[in-house]
Amino acid sequence: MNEEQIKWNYKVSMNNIYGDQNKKRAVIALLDNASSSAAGISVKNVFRTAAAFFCCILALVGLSAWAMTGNTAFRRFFFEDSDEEFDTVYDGYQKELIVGGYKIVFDGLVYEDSVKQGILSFSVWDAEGQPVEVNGNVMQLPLDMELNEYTCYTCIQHYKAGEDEWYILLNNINGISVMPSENNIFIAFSMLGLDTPAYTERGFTDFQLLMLDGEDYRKLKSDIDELDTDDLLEVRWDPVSESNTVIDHYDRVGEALSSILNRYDPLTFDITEFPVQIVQVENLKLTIGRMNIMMEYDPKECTVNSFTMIRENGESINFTREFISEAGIHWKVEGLTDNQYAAGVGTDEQFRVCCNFGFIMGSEEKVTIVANGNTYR
Amino acid sequence: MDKEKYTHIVIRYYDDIKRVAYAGCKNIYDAEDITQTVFLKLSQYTGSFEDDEHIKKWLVKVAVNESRSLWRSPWRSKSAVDEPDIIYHPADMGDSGSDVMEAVMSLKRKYREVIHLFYYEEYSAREIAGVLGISENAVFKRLERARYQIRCRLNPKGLAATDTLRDTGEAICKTGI
Repeated sequence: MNEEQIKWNYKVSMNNIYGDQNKKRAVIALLDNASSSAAGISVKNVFRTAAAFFCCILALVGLSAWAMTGNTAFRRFFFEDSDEEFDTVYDGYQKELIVGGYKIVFDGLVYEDSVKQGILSFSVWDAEGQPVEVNGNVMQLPLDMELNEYTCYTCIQHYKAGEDEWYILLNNINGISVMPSENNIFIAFSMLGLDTPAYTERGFTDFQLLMLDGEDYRKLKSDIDELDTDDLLEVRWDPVSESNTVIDHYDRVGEALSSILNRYDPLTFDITEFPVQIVQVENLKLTIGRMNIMMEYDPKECTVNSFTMIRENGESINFTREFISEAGIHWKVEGLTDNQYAAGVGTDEQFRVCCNFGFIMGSEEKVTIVANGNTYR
Repeated sequence: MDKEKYTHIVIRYYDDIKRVAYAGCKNIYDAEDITQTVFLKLSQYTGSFEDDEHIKKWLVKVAVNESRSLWRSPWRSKSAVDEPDIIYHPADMGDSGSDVMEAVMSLKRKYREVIHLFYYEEYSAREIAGVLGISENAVFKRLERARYQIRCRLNPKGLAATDTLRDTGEAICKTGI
């Protein structure tokens, strides 16, 4: 059967899918219902939320500039009022990289027993000590559920805000985050080791940073996009049966990634000197500027399930995760109607918030709120 | 949007949108729900359209997004790991038609989307890229893989020797996924 025949047969088959007149009449009647129903959230509330985000962003920029006086002071400012658990979580390591006139500061999160290391967040600073705007800057390193359960977790998350797009590839072994900057595209590629039998020989401890121009970045993005993300699913390996599912899967993913990334010259950094500490991540509380952000973290799904933004006046906005799409994590703001909801980096029909594990980042240009057909920036 | 215009759009595009939804979700009942949701959103949409073609593309895009959202809702993700078996509604297409349809419906959602938009809606790769939010290159690659997988299904033993096998395509053919 040639292509034309396939096309013809498919069309004929699909032509048998149609709606009866009753259903069409019901849909037509929706217009009457829609025009008489409540509009949803008020413009006033949306403006207040937009103003709150903008205040948050201004506070962040101010704090970032203040933090340039020293990273220790930066951490102390953020966490001096936090509880002991939080201090323990965030007493991980920091790594600074100087690349092409920029300083990139990575904050890490480490575990002791399983020796899993991950990059929690990063920030970028220029030569004048001014923060460089980044968008969606956190890789959430997936966590094994139990020490005796070996999980290879791989996914590609596609983030988009405004005109910027980037990919974050996550798995237990490799993590890549892409940071668009004004002239160059930085791709921080961390290869982390797992101290488990399955991965002993495959442990990596080097940290690579790729700096690409726009053209190379687009090529890389295109190649990563075509890694067939549906195949990059969570895979469990049963050490008792010694199934090679995970290893085969890892090999395929690792080889595909390597073949793509090896075209570019990385800057390699050894991160084996980082300290290892016992940490337990359940809930994080961060204070950024005038907004308190409390997040609930699900270690099994390795994402944030909900968070609350608390304004200076005590008013809170609760965000709950609705679903994860290719575009990112979509958030729902409680109190809104079904068709109007706040989202993570999402589609045109949703709020766009650079929301991630620990911070809400964004700028006036990158925070777009779309509600009830209107756009607020 | 005035009722006359809205009615005209529903009558003209309902079937097409239902087909897009069906290609995305493989379930005729879900497709009807999605179609209704799409036109509900149209009824609430306050923006403007350039022409009827613009309207249709908007509807198609919303239908694609709604199909994706359906299977990413928390309820669905907790109650079903995989997409359901094909709930196949059309009747009387003959053997060759049902084979093709079954082959297409056995594809992963992202391949069904491009197949439907390319073969049924006859969109260009650029238009498909715009609807799906991917690059043109990605559209071509997905079409290539989809065609290959369809050929594997329809004639697994008769692949031409000159066929170029991609790793994923070969693995899928070997495992029958």
